[in-house]
Amino acid sequence: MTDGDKLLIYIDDKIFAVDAAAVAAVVETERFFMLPMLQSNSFSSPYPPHGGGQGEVGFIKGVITRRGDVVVVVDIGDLFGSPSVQGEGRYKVAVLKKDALCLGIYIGAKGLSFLWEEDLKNLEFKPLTGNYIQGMIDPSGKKIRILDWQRILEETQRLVSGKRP
Amino acid sequence: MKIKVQIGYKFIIGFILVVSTAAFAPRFVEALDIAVWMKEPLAFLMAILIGLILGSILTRTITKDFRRLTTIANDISSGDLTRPDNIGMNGKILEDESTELAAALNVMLKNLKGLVNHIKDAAGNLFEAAETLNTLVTKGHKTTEDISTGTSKIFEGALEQAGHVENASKTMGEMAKMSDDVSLRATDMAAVAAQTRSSVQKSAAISTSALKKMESILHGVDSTKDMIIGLEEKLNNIPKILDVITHISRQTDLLAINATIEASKAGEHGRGFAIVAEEVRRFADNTKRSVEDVAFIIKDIQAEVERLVNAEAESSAFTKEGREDINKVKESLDEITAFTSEVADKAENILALTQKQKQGGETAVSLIEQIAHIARDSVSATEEVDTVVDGHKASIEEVLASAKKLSGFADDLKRVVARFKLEQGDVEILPENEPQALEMAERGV
Repeated sequence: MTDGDKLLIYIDDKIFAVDAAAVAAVVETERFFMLPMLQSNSFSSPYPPHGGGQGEVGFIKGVITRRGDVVVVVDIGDLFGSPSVQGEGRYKVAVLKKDALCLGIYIGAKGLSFLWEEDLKNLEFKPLTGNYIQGMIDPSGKKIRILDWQRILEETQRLVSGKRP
Repeated sequence: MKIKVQIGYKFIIGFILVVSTAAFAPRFVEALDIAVWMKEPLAFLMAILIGLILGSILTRTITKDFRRLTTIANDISSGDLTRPDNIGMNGKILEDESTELAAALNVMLKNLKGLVNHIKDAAGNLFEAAETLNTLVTKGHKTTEDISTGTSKIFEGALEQAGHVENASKTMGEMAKMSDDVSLRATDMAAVAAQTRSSVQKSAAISTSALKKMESILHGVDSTKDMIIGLEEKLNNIPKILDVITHISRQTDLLAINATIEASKAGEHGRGFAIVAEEVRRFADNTKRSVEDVAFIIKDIQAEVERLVNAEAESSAFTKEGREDINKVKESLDEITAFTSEVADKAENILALTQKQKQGGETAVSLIEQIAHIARDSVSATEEVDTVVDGHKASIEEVLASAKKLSGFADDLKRVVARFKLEQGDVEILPENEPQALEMAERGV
């Protein structure tokens, strides 16, 4: 789990990390589009919204398009009970890609940084069994949660497809 | 033929006749047939009787004329001059002193008649003259009293006039002094007015210069306003530029992130590029923060410029009002300059007039002093006239008293003369105080 460089995402007072190799790009967008199914009353989410914008459903912020691909953008702040800080104007999204599937992670105002593999090797990895978190590293007292973004992607896909858990 | 025998001789002749007759008495008695013893006393008695009878007859004869003349003299002395002035002794054979006395009485009576007539006429004329004099003197006294009253009034008037003239002199002196003061003040005022005019003209020149400078300042303010507006417009353009810079920095940051990600995918080989990309990100981040700082500063500047614009707008209003005020001040200064020039001219005129007034006042003081001198002389002269009039009045009073006395004398004289009756029909009128008047007339009082 400590292989490769990590992209650190700062949400509120929490730090999340994803594999940098999985990041297709970091893009900016002016707005999110909402899928009609997400706006339907029949859609039910186990994750209550945390005060998102109009049309937000649970931790899904909406969708964007990148090079023809539809990317579902999630707010991991909502997912982990730490609302992200809204930026001004444009939204920054880290697009993760696995095969043909893409997941957008909404990045708050605090922005991004990187943790290099060389530094990770010297850190202790603590595996966690909670939802969407693979484990935790703790450099200099800063708890960095390594996201299991593929499960988030799956959950998102499930939610988008309207399948019941 | 008249024979003049003196009375003494007549007495001697009579005496001799008496004595001779008495000497024949004894012989006559002897012839009588009476007792002897009775003859001597009878003869004596007879002698005495004859002597008395003869003596009496003789005396009567001798003194008859004198008694008559005495009666006439008494009548004359009592003022009865009615008797004709031909007292006659024509029946007398032997003239004596009584004849001469009668002649003298005739002359005296005649003269006395003439004298009394003359005195009567004179007394009448004197009385009339005394009455006239008395009337005239009374009138003169009245006139003198009037003159005295008039001179007293003139004197009082002269005194009052002298007092008034004195007061007028003092007043004129004070006025002259005041004229001096006024002249001095007018001189000072003229000097001050001239100085004021000079100062005001200087002030006007300075103010005009200040106005021109103020106009330049106002023009500068207007230019500053345009510059501020230009600056505000340029400052308003800066946020757009900053937005562009921010956008560029964001894009740079994004590109750097993506570059870092791509470098990370390159593994060990991309590590250097990742570091460079990270530096680029940091640079973009710094740029972003700088832009934010600049944006803050620009906002502050914009706020300041906004305040400056507002202040300038306010200042522009003030400037406009200031320009109007300056124009008013200029107009006021022009008016003040004109007024001060007029005041200075008038002050000079006043000075000239006050100097003329001063000269006139000095002349008036001199004239008033002359008048006061004349008034004092007039008072003295009036006083002298009053004294003279008083003396004249006293003299007139004395003359009046004398006239009254003279009138009294004339009256007395008339009364005295009135006692002399020249005709039979004349009536003697004697007042009650006749005796005293006569006595006074006789004593010449």
